[in-house]
Amino acid sequence: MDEVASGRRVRAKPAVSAEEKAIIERCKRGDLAAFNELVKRYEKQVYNFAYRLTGNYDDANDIAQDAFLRVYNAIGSFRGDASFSTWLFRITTNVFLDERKRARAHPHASLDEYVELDESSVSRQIEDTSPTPDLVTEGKERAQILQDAIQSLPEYQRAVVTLYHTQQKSYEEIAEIMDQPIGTVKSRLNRARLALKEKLSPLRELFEF
Amino acid sequence: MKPERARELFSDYAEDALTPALRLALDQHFEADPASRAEYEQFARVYALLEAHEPGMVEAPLGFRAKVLEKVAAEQARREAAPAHRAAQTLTGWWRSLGSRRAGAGLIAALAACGILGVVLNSTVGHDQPARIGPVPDFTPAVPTTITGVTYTQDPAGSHYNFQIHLPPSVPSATVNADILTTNDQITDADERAHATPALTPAQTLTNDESMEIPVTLPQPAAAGTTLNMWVQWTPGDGGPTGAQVVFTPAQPTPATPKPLPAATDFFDALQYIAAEYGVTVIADAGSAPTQTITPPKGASVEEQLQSVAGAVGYSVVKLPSGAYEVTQPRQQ
Repeated sequence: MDEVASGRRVRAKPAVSAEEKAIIERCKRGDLAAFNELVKRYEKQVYNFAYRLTGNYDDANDIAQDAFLRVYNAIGSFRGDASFSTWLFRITTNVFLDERKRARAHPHASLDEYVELDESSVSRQIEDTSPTPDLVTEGKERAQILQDAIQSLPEYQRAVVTLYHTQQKSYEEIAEIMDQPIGTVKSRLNRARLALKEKLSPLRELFEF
Repeated sequence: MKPERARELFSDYAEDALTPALRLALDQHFEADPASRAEYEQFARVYALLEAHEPGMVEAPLGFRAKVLEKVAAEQARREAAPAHRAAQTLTGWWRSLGSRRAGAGLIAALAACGILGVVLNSTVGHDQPARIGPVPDFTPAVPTTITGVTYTQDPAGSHYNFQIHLPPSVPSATVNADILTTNDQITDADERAHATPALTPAQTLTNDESMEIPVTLPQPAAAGTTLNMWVQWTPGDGGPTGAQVVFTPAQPTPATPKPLPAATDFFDALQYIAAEYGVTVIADAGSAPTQTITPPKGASVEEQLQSVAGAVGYSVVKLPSGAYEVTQPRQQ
């Protein structure tokens, strides 16, 4: 559960129930019924996370499926040092990043493509197709613009923003998921928020800056 | 305070996570620089928008789980078929037994195709006693070094590495697996390793009066700051304990001014970084995955850096006759 104190949100690490531990142990023994149960528990979370990372349903479907396949292959090595949920998000993030690396190896021009995909990447200078303020008035559309702005961030920034602000993960969990020190996670998040501020500043009136 | 420094603190300021002194400094900066204050206010608005942003949850598509289970079943079938497939993959000519065994052109071609980069400068391999660096706990490694070093040459045909592997006297014979790794995740994660490319399969049986050499040729000079990483696991024929090591081989010799290690880094990442930045070969036990965050001293020598990293997880450092550094886990006799 979250606790908001002095503007800082404290997020508790997810606990692994005894029931879930038993399911994981059965999965380690190759029990497909147990694996089916595990997928059932997490498919919505993983699919939504993949969707927020990729921005489209087809890619989210591929990434979520591959993530679960990778979980199946690796579950024997899951020691329980991290929570299963954290481990699952780490795998999903890695599948997403691997997929983008592969896509980079076989590039094809796209309006929303990035020249490089690490945190220092710079978007191609193509005509700005963002909606103008007079075209967007409803809160729903505002949320979509914010989501589009998140989508336009470099991959690592997009991942940390999604994990923190959409998936409600703590800095510690994100550090485990991204396999990065907490300091790196926090500085990437800060840079991502600064980048979002820049992206949204032309729409200042809409967002009541 | 410079505006860039102020921006670095925006999130912590919004989260009330600054020390009182930094908070005061930023408040004073805002008073002196209204533009920076206005910029922070925009930032805080975006922060609030992100916190309030609750995109709707979508359901996984129909048939999602069935598709996952279908893939899992296919994976199971593939695994069951794998032993026969691997047996058929006997790499005749891959190894050459003339007192040494040598990996052949298959790996060279595969690596060239994969474009994995790395360069190593090291002297010849021997089996003299290693020199310990700094104070060392009272222990004797039960399974001493197996990767003994790496040599590197370069000619118009490419960059050539030679990984030397030699079982210690305490291990009469063992089955040896070796893989080139592209990420540190693969060091301790069996699934990640399973996707290592290329793997030296099938596994080779080695006795301790033989040495194994694994030549690797890359078509182009390696880029600075990269390493070529090999993971080796051995399973003794007498049922003794399995061991695993990883070697980080640097792309280039020691640069004039190595960049200091980032303030907080994971164990294997720290070793890889030191190998790349200081141009040294670093070999580490890979039977476990220390999770401590490492904060080594700035401006220290490579040996001090390695000692700091090793000490943080209770390991120690030895310098091998080949010039490589080995970071070992204490093993009580």
